Amino acid sequence: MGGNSEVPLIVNGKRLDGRGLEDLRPITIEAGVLNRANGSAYLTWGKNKVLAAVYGPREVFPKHETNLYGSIVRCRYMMAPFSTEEHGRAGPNRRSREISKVTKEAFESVVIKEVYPKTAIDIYVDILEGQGSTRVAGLTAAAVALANAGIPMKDIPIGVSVGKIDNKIAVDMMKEEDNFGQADMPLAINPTTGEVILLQMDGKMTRDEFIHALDLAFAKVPEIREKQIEALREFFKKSSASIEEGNGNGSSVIEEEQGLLGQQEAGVQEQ
Amino acid sequence: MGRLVIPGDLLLDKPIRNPYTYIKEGKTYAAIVGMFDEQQTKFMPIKASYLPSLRDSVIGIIEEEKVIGYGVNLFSPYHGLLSSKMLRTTFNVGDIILAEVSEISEVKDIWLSRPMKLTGGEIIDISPTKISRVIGKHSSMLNILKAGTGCEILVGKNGLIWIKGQNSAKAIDAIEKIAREAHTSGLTDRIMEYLGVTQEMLQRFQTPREQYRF
Repeated sequence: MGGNSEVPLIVNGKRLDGRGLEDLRPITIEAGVLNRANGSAYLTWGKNKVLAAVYGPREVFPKHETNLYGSIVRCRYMMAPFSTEEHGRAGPNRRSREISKVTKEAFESVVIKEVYPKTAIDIYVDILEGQGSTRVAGLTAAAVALANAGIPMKDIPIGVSVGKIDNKIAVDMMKEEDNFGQADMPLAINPTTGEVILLQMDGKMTRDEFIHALDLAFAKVPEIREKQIEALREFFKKSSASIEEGNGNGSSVIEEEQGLLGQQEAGVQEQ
Repeated sequence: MGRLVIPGDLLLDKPIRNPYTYIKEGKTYAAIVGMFDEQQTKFMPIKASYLPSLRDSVIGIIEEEKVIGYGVNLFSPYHGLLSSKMLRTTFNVGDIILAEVSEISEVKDIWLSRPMKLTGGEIIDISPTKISRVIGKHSSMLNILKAGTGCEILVGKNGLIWIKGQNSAKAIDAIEKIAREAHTSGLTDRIMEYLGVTQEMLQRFQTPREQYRF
Protein backbone atom coordinates (compact mmCIF):
# COMPACT_ATOMS: atom_id res chain seq x y z
CA MET A 1 0.00 0.00 0.00
CA GLY A 2 1.07 3.56 -0.39
CA GLY A 3 3.03 4.48 -3.49
CA ASN A 4 2.84 3.03 -6.96
CA SER A 5 2.82 -0.74 -7.05
CA GLU A 6 5.47 -2.78 -8.78
CA VAL A 7 2.79 -4.74 -10.57
CA PRO A 8 0.86 -2.73 -13.19
CA LEU A 9 -2.80 -3.04 -12.29
CA ILE A 10 -4.22 -0.99 -15.15
CA VAL A 11 -3.09 -1.83 -18.67
CA ASN A 12 -4.53 0.19 -21.59
CA GLY A 13 -7.32 1.46 -19.38
CA LYS A 14 -8.42 -2.06 -18.45
CA ARG A 15 -7.87 -3.89 -15.21
CA LEU A 16 -6.18 -7.27 -14.95
CA ASP A 17 -9.34 -9.22 -15.64
CA GLY A 18 -10.42 -6.93 -18.48
CA ARG A 19 -12.88 -4.84 -16.48
CA GLY A 20 -13.15 -1.08 -16.66
CA LEU A 21 -12.58 1.01 -13.54
CA GLU A 22 -16.29 1.24 -12.79
CA ASP A 23 -17.32 -2.33 -13.54
CA LEU A 24 -18.35 -4.95 -11.03
CA ARG A 25 -17.49 -8.59 -11.38
CA PRO A 26 -20.50 -10.75 -12.34
CA ILE A 27 -22.72 -11.56 -9.35
CA THR A 28 -25.16 -14.43 -8.93
CA ILE A 29 -27.21 -15.07 -5.81
CA GLU A 30 -29.43 -18.00 -4.96
CA ALA A 31 -31.62 -17.95 -1.85
CA GLY A 32 -32.80 -20.88 0.21
CA VAL A 33 -30.06 -23.37 -0.63
CA LEU A 34 -29.85 -25.08 2.78
CA ASN A 35 -32.78 -27.10 4.08
CA ARG A 36 -31.90 -27.16 7.77
CA ALA A 37 -31.21 -23.43 8.09
CA ASN A 38 -34.01 -20.93 8.58
CA GLY A 39 -32.60 -18.88 5.76
CA SER A 40 -29.63 -19.23 3.47
CA ALA A 41 -28.01 -17.85 0.37
CA TYR A 42 -25.26 -18.87 -2.00
CA LEU A 43 -23.44 -16.06 -3.75
CA THR A 44 -20.78 -15.98 -6.40
CA TRP A 45 -19.09 -12.67 -7.00
CA GLY A 46 -16.46 -13.07 -9.67
CA LYS A 47 -14.40 -15.95 -8.34
CA ASN A 48 -15.65 -15.50 -4.79
CA LYS A 49 -17.97 -18.21 -3.56
CA VAL A 50 -19.87 -17.51 -0.37
CA LEU A 51 -22.39 -19.56 1.58
CA ALA A 52 -24.42 -17.70 4.20
CA ALA A 53 -26.82 -19.34 6.65
CA VAL A 54 -29.13 -17.81 9.23
CA TYR A 55 -30.51 -19.71 12.20
CA GLY A 56 -33.12 -18.18 14.39
CA PRO A 57 -34.75 -16.49 16.10
CA ARG A 58 -33.84 -19.22 18.56
CA GLU A 59 -33.04 -19.67 22.22
CA VAL A 60 -29.87 -18.02 23.44
CA PHE A 61 -27.01 -20.19 24.63
CA PRO A 62 -25.15 -19.30 26.84
CA LYS A 63 -28.15 -17.96 28.71
CA HIS A 64 -26.40 -15.00 30.32
CA GLU A 65 -26.13 -13.30 26.93
CA THR A 66 -29.93 -13.03 26.74
CA ASN A 67 -31.43 -9.62 26.16
CA LEU A 68 -34.90 -9.44 27.69
CA TYR A 69 -35.95 -6.57 25.45
CA GLY A 70 -34.79 -7.78 22.08
CA SER A 71 -32.98 -10.44 20.15
CA ILE A 72 -29.22 -10.55 19.95
CA VAL A 73 -27.43 -10.80 16.64
CA ARG A 74 -24.36 -12.99 16.36
CA CYS A 75 -22.19 -13.45 13.34
CA ARG A 76 -19.40 -15.81 12.44
CA TYR A 77 -17.38 -15.16 9.32
CA MET A 78 -14.95 -17.84 8.31
CA MET A 79 -12.71 -18.49 5.35
CA ALA A 80 -12.44 -22.15 4.51
CA PRO A 81 -8.82 -23.42 4.64
CA PHE A 82 -9.04 -24.24 0.93
CA SER A 83 -10.48 -20.85 -0.04
CA THR A 84 -7.20 -19.15 -0.93
CA GLU A 85 -4.24 -20.07 -3.10
CA GLU A 86 -2.24 -21.10 -0.09
CA HIS A 87 -3.87 -23.64 2.19
CA GLY A 88 -4.77 -21.85 5.41
CA ARG A 89 -5.33 -22.95 8.96
CA ALA A 90 -8.82 -23.90 10.04
CA GLY A 91 -10.56 -22.01 12.81
CA PRO A 92 -10.89 -18.39 13.81
CA ASN A 93 -8.03 -15.96 13.51
CA ARG A 94 -7.56 -12.25 14.10
CA ARG A 95 -8.86 -11.28 10.67
CA SER A 96 -11.98 -13.45 10.75
CA ARG A 97 -12.86 -12.25 14.23
CA GLU A 98 -12.61 -8.66 13.12
CA ILE A 99 -14.82 -9.26 10.10
CA SER A 100 -17.34 -11.18 12.23
CA LYS A 101 -17.51 -8.20 14.54
CA VAL A 102 -18.00 -5.54 11.87
CA THR A 103 -20.58 -7.68 10.04
CA LYS A 104 -22.45 -8.24 13.28
CA GLU A 105 -22.49 -4.54 14.02
CA ALA A 106 -23.71 -3.76 10.51
CA PHE A 107 -26.63 -6.16 10.90
CA GLU A 108 -27.44 -5.03 14.41
CA SER A 109 -28.38 -1.66 12.96
CA VAL A 110 -30.68 -3.25 10.39
CA VAL A 111 -32.48 -6.09 12.21
CA ILE A 112 -35.59 -5.05 14.15
CA LYS A 113 -34.74 -6.69 17.43
CA GLU A 114 -37.85 -5.89 19.46
CA VAL A 115 -40.10 -8.39 17.65
CA TYR A 116 -38.51 -11.50 19.15
CA PRO A 117 -37.16 -10.66 22.62
CA LYS A 118 -34.97 -13.21 24.44
CA THR A 119 -33.80 -14.82 21.22
CA ALA A 120 -30.62 -15.03 19.19
CA ILE A 121 -30.21 -14.61 15.47
CA ASP A 122 -27.12 -16.44 14.29
CA ILE A 123 -25.50 -15.57 11.00
CA TYR A 124 -22.85 -17.86 9.57
CA VAL A 125 -20.82 -16.68 6.61
CA ASP A 126 -18.48 -19.18 5.02
CA ILE A 127 -16.10 -18.18 2.27
CA LEU A 128 -15.59 -21.22 0.09
CA GLU A 129 -13.40 -19.41 -2.38
CA GLY A 130 -11.91 -16.00 -1.71
CA GLN A 131 -10.63 -13.69 -4.40
CA GLY A 132 -10.80 -10.28 -2.79
CA SER A 133 -13.63 -8.25 -1.20
CA THR A 134 -14.96 -11.27 0.65
CA ARG A 135 -16.31 -9.29 3.57
CA VAL A 136 -18.70 -7.33 1.37
CA ALA A 137 -19.59 -10.48 -0.58
CA GLY A 138 -20.30 -12.23 2.71
CA LEU A 139 -22.40 -9.34 3.95
CA THR A 140 -24.41 -9.22 0.72
CA ALA A 141 -25.08 -12.96 0.96
CA ALA A 142 -25.93 -12.78 4.67
CA ALA A 143 -28.45 -9.99 3.98
CA VAL A 144 -30.27 -12.23 1.49
CA ALA A 145 -30.14 -15.12 3.96
CA LEU A 146 -31.68 -12.92 6.69
CA ALA A 147 -34.51 -11.84 4.40
CA ASN A 148 -34.98 -15.47 3.38
CA ALA A 149 -35.20 -16.51 7.04
CA GLY A 150 -38.10 -14.12 7.61
CA ILE A 151 -36.32 -12.00 10.16
CA PRO A 152 -37.80 -8.48 10.48
CA MET A 153 -35.33 -5.90 9.24
CA LYS A 154 -35.46 -2.32 8.06
CA ASP A 155 -33.66 -2.85 4.80
CA ILE A 156 -31.57 -5.38 2.90
CA PRO A 157 -28.04 -3.98 3.11
CA ILE A 158 -25.58 -4.40 0.28
CA GLY A 159 -21.82 -4.53 0.39
CA VAL A 160 -19.46 -3.06 -2.17
CA SER A 161 -15.76 -2.29 -2.12
CA VAL A 162 -13.94 0.60 -3.72
CA GLY A 163 -10.26 1.39 -3.80
CA LYS A 164 -7.36 3.11 -5.43
CA ILE A 165 -5.17 1.32 -7.93
CA ASP A 166 -2.40 2.96 -9.97
CA ASN A 167 -3.64 6.39 -8.74
CA LYS A 168 -7.15 5.76 -10.04
CA ILE A 169 -10.33 5.09 -8.10
CA ALA A 170 -11.95 1.78 -9.00
CA VAL A 171 -14.86 -0.26 -7.74
CA ASP A 172 -14.92 -3.91 -6.62
CA MET A 173 -11.35 -4.77 -5.68
CA MET A 174 -10.13 -8.21 -6.58
CA LYS A 175 -7.32 -10.05 -4.86
CA GLU A 176 -4.36 -8.61 -6.83
CA GLU A 177 -5.72 -5.08 -6.52
CA ASP A 178 -6.26 -5.59 -2.82
CA ASN A 179 -2.68 -6.85 -2.38
CA PHE A 180 -0.84 -4.43 -4.66
CA GLY A 181 -3.22 -1.46 -4.83
CA GLN A 182 -2.87 1.79 -2.91
CA ALA A 183 -6.12 1.75 -0.97
CA ASP A 184 -9.05 -0.54 -0.35
CA MET A 185 -12.34 0.54 1.20
CA PRO A 186 -15.16 -1.94 1.89
CA LEU A 187 -18.57 -0.39 2.45
CA ALA A 188 -22.02 -1.60 3.42
CA ILE A 189 -24.99 0.57 2.53
CA ASN A 190 -28.72 0.50 3.22
CA PRO A 191 -30.07 1.08 -0.28
CA THR A 192 -33.40 2.71 0.59
CA THR A 193 -32.01 5.24 3.05
CA GLY A 194 -28.43 5.53 1.88
CA GLU A 195 -27.08 4.90 5.38
CA VAL A 196 -23.53 3.60 5.55
CA ILE A 197 -23.44 0.76 8.07
CA LEU A 198 -19.89 -0.46 7.50
CA LEU A 199 -16.87 1.48 6.36
CA GLN A 200 -13.30 0.42 6.68
CA MET A 201 -10.26 1.64 4.83
CA ASP A 202 -6.82 0.29 4.31
CA GLY A 203 -4.24 2.52 2.56
CA LYS A 204 -4.26 6.18 1.73
CA MET A 205 -6.63 8.38 -0.24
CA THR A 206 -6.98 12.14 -0.43
CA ARG A 207 -10.21 13.79 0.63
CA ASP A 208 -11.32 14.25 -2.99
CA GLU A 209 -10.47 10.66 -3.84
CA PHE A 210 -12.43 9.46 -0.82
CA ILE A 211 -15.52 11.41 -1.90
CA HIS A 212 -15.15 10.13 -5.44
CA ALA A 213 -14.82 6.57 -4.14
CA LEU A 214 -17.90 6.98 -1.97
CA ASP A 215 -19.91 8.29 -4.94
CA LEU A 216 -18.74 5.36 -7.02
CA ALA A 217 -19.83 2.90 -4.32
CA PHE A 218 -23.26 4.52 -4.11
CA ALA A 219 -23.60 4.39 -7.89
CA LYS A 220 -23.17 0.62 -7.81
CA VAL A 221 -25.80 0.03 -5.10
CA PRO A 222 -28.84 -0.48 -7.42
CA GLU A 223 -26.98 -3.05 -9.51
CA ILE A 224 -26.19 -5.25 -6.49
CA ARG A 225 -29.61 -4.72 -4.92
CA GLU A 226 -31.26 -5.90 -8.13
CA LYS A 227 -29.44 -9.24 -7.79
CA GLN A 228 -30.59 -9.62 -4.19
CA ILE A 229 -34.22 -8.91 -5.05
CA GLU A 230 -33.99 -11.27 -8.01
CA ALA A 231 -32.74 -14.06 -5.71
CA LEU A 232 -35.60 -13.53 -3.25
CA ARG A 233 -38.16 -13.43 -6.08
CA GLU A 234 -36.77 -16.61 -7.59
CA PHE A 235 -36.97 -18.35 -4.24
CA PHE A 236 -40.56 -17.25 -3.79
CA LYS A 237 -41.48 -18.44 -7.28
CA LYS A 238 -39.79 -21.78 -6.69
CA SER A 239 -41.35 -22.39 -3.31
CA SER A 240 -44.85 -21.29 -4.28
CA ALA A 241 -45.14 -22.98 -7.64
CA SER A 242 -47.98 -25.47 -7.65
CA ILE A 243 -46.84 -29.06 -7.84
CA GLU A 244 -48.85 -30.04 -10.94
CA GLU A 245 -48.28 -26.94 -13.02
CA GLY A 246 -44.61 -26.68 -12.24
CA ASN A 247 -44.34 -22.93 -12.28
CA GLY A 248 -47.47 -21.64 -10.59
CA ASN A 249 -50.35 -19.99 -12.35
CA GLY A 250 -48.66 -16.61 -12.45
CA SER A 251 -51.39 -14.84 -10.55
CA SER A 252 -50.56 -13.45 -7.18
CA VAL A 253 -53.99 -12.22 -6.21
CA ILE A 254 -54.80 -12.51 -2.56
CA GLU A 255 -58.16 -14.07 -2.14
CA GLU A 256 -60.74 -11.75 -0.72
CA GLU A 257 -63.48 -13.94 0.67
CA GLN A 258 -61.09 -16.34 2.36
CA GLY A 259 -59.84 -13.73 4.73
CA LEU A 260 -56.14 -14.52 4.60
CA LEU A 261 -55.46 -13.01 7.94
CA GLY A 262 -58.98 -12.46 9.13
CA GLN A 263 -58.88 -15.39 11.49
CA GLN A 264 -55.47 -14.74 12.87
CA GLU A 265 -55.69 -10.98 12.97
CA ALA A 266 -52.06 -10.99 12.02
CA GLY A 267 -52.64 -8.68 9.10
CA VAL A 268 -52.01 -5.00 9.03
CA GLN A 269 -54.70 -3.72 11.36
CA GLU A 270 -55.88 -0.20 11.08
CA GLN A 271 -55.89 1.50 14.40
CA MET B 1 -53.94 -7.56 -6.35
CA GLY B 2 -51.05 -8.64 -4.19
CA ARG B 3 -47.45 -7.85 -4.82
CA LEU B 4 -44.27 -9.29 -3.42
CA VAL B 5 -42.55 -6.86 -1.10
CA ILE B 6 -39.13 -7.09 0.48
CA PRO B 7 -37.77 -5.41 3.63
CA GLY B 8 -37.60 -1.65 3.18
CA ASP B 9 -40.42 -1.38 0.63
CA LEU B 10 -42.99 1.34 1.25
CA LEU B 11 -46.40 -0.13 2.06
CA LEU B 12 -48.60 2.77 3.13
CA ASP B 13 -48.38 6.50 3.62
CA LYS B 14 -49.96 6.22 7.07
CA PRO B 15 -48.56 4.60 10.19
CA ILE B 16 -49.93 1.13 10.97
CA ARG B 17 -48.58 -1.16 13.66
CA ASN B 18 -47.82 -4.77 12.85
CA PRO B 19 -44.98 -7.06 13.97
CA TYR B 20 -43.83 -7.46 10.39
CA THR B 21 -43.76 -3.78 9.41
CA TYR B 22 -42.04 -0.74 10.80
CA ILE B 23 -42.91 2.94 10.88
CA LYS B 24 -40.60 5.73 9.85
CA GLU B 25 -41.60 9.37 9.45
CA GLY B 26 -45.29 8.47 9.58
CA LYS B 27 -45.08 5.89 6.83
CA THR B 28 -45.28 2.10 7.00
CA TYR B 29 -42.56 -0.06 5.51
CA ALA B 30 -42.28 -3.83 5.14
CA ALA B 31 -39.83 -5.55 7.48
CA ILE B 32 -40.09 -9.01 6.00
CA VAL B 33 -40.60 -10.67 2.62
CA GLY B 34 -44.32 -11.01 2.04
CA MET B 35 -47.35 -10.41 -0.11
CA PHE B 36 -49.05 -7.05 0.27
CA ASP B 37 -52.60 -6.36 -0.81
CA GLU B 38 -53.03 -2.64 -1.51
CA GLN B 39 -56.84 -2.53 -1.44
CA GLN B 40 -57.35 -4.32 1.82
CA THR B 41 -54.06 -3.21 3.37
CA LYS B 42 -53.31 -6.79 4.29
CA PHE B 43 -49.76 -7.99 4.64
CA MET B 44 -48.99 -11.68 4.63
CA PRO B 45 -45.42 -12.72 5.43
CA ILE B 46 -44.11 -15.63 3.40
CA LYS B 47 -42.13 -17.07 6.27
CA ALA B 48 -41.88 -16.00 9.89
CA SER B 49 -41.36 -17.57 13.28
CA TYR B 50 -44.39 -18.17 15.47
CA LEU B 51 -45.33 -15.23 17.68
CA PRO B 52 -47.58 -16.48 20.48
CA SER B 53 -50.87 -14.78 21.20
CA LEU B 54 -53.52 -15.58 23.78
CA ARG B 55 -56.03 -18.39 23.18
CA ASP B 56 -54.07 -19.83 20.27
CA SER B 57 -54.31 -23.59 20.05
CA VAL B 58 -50.86 -25.02 19.55
CA ILE B 59 -49.37 -28.47 19.03
CA GLY B 60 -46.19 -29.32 20.89
CA ILE B 61 -44.00 -32.13 22.14
CA ILE B 62 -43.41 -32.69 25.84
CA GLU B 63 -39.71 -32.09 26.18
CA GLU B 64 -38.91 -32.19 29.87
CA GLU B 65 -40.49 -32.75 33.23
CA LYS B 66 -40.01 -29.94 35.72
CA VAL B 67 -41.03 -29.39 39.33
CA ILE B 68 -43.76 -27.00 38.24
CA GLY B 69 -44.95 -29.11 35.34
CA TYR B 70 -43.76 -29.82 31.84
CA GLY B 71 -41.64 -28.02 29.30
CA VAL B 72 -43.18 -28.17 25.84
CA ASN B 73 -41.34 -27.73 22.56
CA LEU B 74 -43.55 -25.58 20.37
CA PHE B 75 -41.15 -25.25 17.40
CA SER B 76 -41.00 -21.53 18.01
CA PRO B 77 -38.32 -19.32 19.60
CA TYR B 78 -40.09 -19.68 22.95
CA HIS B 79 -40.83 -22.71 25.06
CA GLY B 80 -44.21 -23.68 26.33
CA LEU B 81 -44.87 -24.49 29.99
CA LEU B 82 -47.61 -26.70 31.32
CA SER B 83 -48.36 -26.27 35.01
CA SER B 84 -49.02 -29.60 36.73
CA LYS B 85 -51.33 -27.82 39.20
CA MET B 86 -53.97 -27.59 36.53
CA LEU B 87 -53.56 -31.14 35.28
CA ARG B 88 -55.54 -34.23 36.09
CA THR B 89 -53.33 -36.47 33.95
CA THR B 90 -49.63 -37.02 33.62
CA PHE B 91 -47.55 -37.00 30.47
CA ASN B 92 -44.36 -38.65 29.38
CA VAL B 93 -41.47 -37.03 27.63
CA GLY B 94 -42.13 -37.35 23.90
CA ASP B 95 -45.93 -37.12 24.13
CA ILE B 96 -47.58 -34.89 21.59
CA ILE B 97 -50.21 -32.53 22.91
CA LEU B 98 -52.70 -29.98 21.67
CA ALA B 99 -53.07 -27.13 24.13
CA GLU B 100 -54.24 -23.56 24.42
CA VAL B 101 -52.08 -20.55 25.21
CA SER B 102 -53.51 -19.27 28.47
CA GLU B 103 -50.90 -16.71 29.47
CA ILE B 104 -47.83 -15.08 28.03
CA SER B 105 -45.60 -13.65 30.72
CA GLU B 106 -43.57 -10.52 30.19
CA VAL B 107 -40.45 -12.60 29.73
CA LYS B 108 -42.25 -14.55 27.00
CA ASP B 109 -42.90 -17.76 28.91
CA ILE B 110 -45.87 -19.38 27.19
CA TRP B 111 -48.20 -20.95 29.75
CA LEU B 112 -50.42 -23.61 28.27
CA SER B 113 -53.73 -24.99 29.50
CA ARG B 114 -56.34 -27.58 28.48
CA PRO B 115 -53.83 -30.07 27.12
CA MET B 116 -55.00 -33.02 25.09
CA LYS B 117 -52.74 -35.93 24.29
CA LEU B 118 -52.62 -36.90 20.64
CA THR B 119 -51.95 -40.56 20.00
CA GLY B 120 -51.04 -42.04 16.65
CA GLY B 121 -51.29 -40.02 13.48
CA GLU B 122 -48.71 -37.93 11.75
CA ILE B 123 -47.43 -34.41 12.19
CA ILE B 124 -46.35 -32.07 9.42
CA ASP B 125 -44.99 -28.61 9.84
CA ILE B 126 -45.60 -25.60 7.60
CA SER B 127 -44.89 -21.91 7.98
CA PRO B 128 -47.04 -20.46 10.84
CA THR B 129 -48.05 -17.58 8.55
CA LYS B 130 -49.85 -20.04 6.27
CA ILE B 131 -51.90 -21.72 8.99
CA SER B 132 -54.73 -19.22 8.52
CA ARG B 133 -55.08 -20.46 4.97
CA VAL B 134 -55.23 -24.11 6.07
CA ILE B 135 -58.09 -23.25 8.45
CA GLY B 136 -59.90 -20.85 6.11
CA LYS B 137 -62.73 -18.55 7.01
CA HIS B 138 -64.97 -20.22 9.62
CA SER B 139 -62.87 -23.40 9.18
CA SER B 140 -64.03 -23.75 5.58
CA MET B 141 -60.73 -25.11 4.27
CA LEU B 142 -60.32 -27.46 7.24
CA ASN B 143 -63.80 -28.86 6.62
CA ILE B 144 -62.93 -29.50 2.99
CA LEU B 145 -59.80 -31.36 4.06
CA LYS B 146 -61.75 -33.44 6.57
CA ALA B 147 -64.56 -34.17 4.13
CA GLY B 148 -62.21 -35.02 1.30
CA THR B 149 -59.94 -37.36 3.21
CA GLY B 150 -61.97 -38.57 6.16
CA CYS B 151 -59.00 -37.82 8.42
CA GLU B 152 -58.99 -36.26 11.83
CA ILE B 153 -57.02 -33.03 11.45
CA LEU B 154 -55.96 -30.72 14.25
CA VAL B 155 -54.18 -27.48 13.45
CA GLY B 156 -51.78 -25.70 15.78
CA LYS B 157 -51.21 -22.03 15.15
CA ASN B 158 -47.48 -22.61 15.62
CA GLY B 159 -47.36 -24.33 12.24
CA LEU B 160 -47.79 -27.96 13.28
CA ILE B 161 -50.67 -30.00 11.89
CA TRP B 162 -51.68 -33.40 13.26
CA ILE B 163 -53.37 -35.82 10.87
CA LYS B 164 -54.79 -39.22 11.67
CA GLY B 165 -56.70 -41.51 9.35
CA GLN B 166 -56.57 -43.85 6.42
CA ASN B 167 -56.10 -41.14 3.85
CA SER B 168 -53.40 -39.16 5.65
CA ALA B 169 -51.05 -39.14 2.65
CA LYS B 170 -53.72 -37.42 0.57
CA ALA B 171 -54.36 -34.89 3.33
CA ILE B 172 -50.65 -34.11 3.60
CA ASP B 173 -50.46 -33.57 -0.15
CA ALA B 174 -53.42 -31.21 0.02
CA ILE B 175 -51.97 -29.24 2.95
CA GLU B 176 -48.65 -28.90 1.18
CA LYS B 177 -50.52 -27.66 -1.87
CA ILE B 178 -52.28 -25.07 0.30
CA ALA B 179 -48.98 -23.96 1.79
CA ARG B 180 -47.37 -23.57 -1.61
CA GLU B 181 -50.27 -21.68 -3.14
CA ALA B 182 -51.30 -19.74 -0.05
CA HIS B 183 -50.98 -16.38 -1.80
CA THR B 184 -53.19 -17.21 -4.79
CA SER B 185 -56.92 -16.73 -5.20
CA GLY B 186 -59.55 -19.40 -5.76
CA LEU B 187 -57.62 -21.84 -3.61
CA THR B 188 -60.74 -23.23 -1.89
CA ASP B 189 -62.24 -24.26 -5.23
CA ARG B 190 -59.00 -25.82 -6.37
CA ILE B 191 -58.63 -27.84 -3.17
CA MET B 192 -62.26 -28.97 -3.46
CA GLU B 193 -61.53 -30.14 -6.97
CA TYR B 194 -58.25 -31.73 -5.93
CA LEU B 195 -59.90 -33.76 -3.19
CA GLY B 196 -63.16 -34.33 -5.08
CA VAL B 197 -65.30 -32.64 -2.44
CA THR B 198 -68.84 -31.49 -3.22
CA GLN B 199 -71.03 -29.05 -1.31
CA GLU B 200 -73.22 -31.88 0.02
CA MET B 201 -70.20 -33.55 1.60
CA LEU B 202 -69.54 -30.40 3.58
CA GLN B 203 -73.01 -30.35 5.15
CA ARG B 204 -72.07 -32.55 8.11
CA PHE B 205 -69.14 -30.34 9.05
CA GLN B 206 -71.19 -27.44 10.30
CA THR B 207 -70.33 -28.02 13.95
CA PRO B 208 -67.39 -26.02 15.25
CA ARG B 209 -64.14 -27.81 15.96
CA GLU B 210 -64.48 -27.27 19.72
CA GLN B 211 -66.16 -30.67 19.76
CA TYR B 212 -62.70 -32.22 19.93
CA ARG B 213 -62.01 -30.60 23.25
CA PHE B 214 -62.71 -32.00 26.65
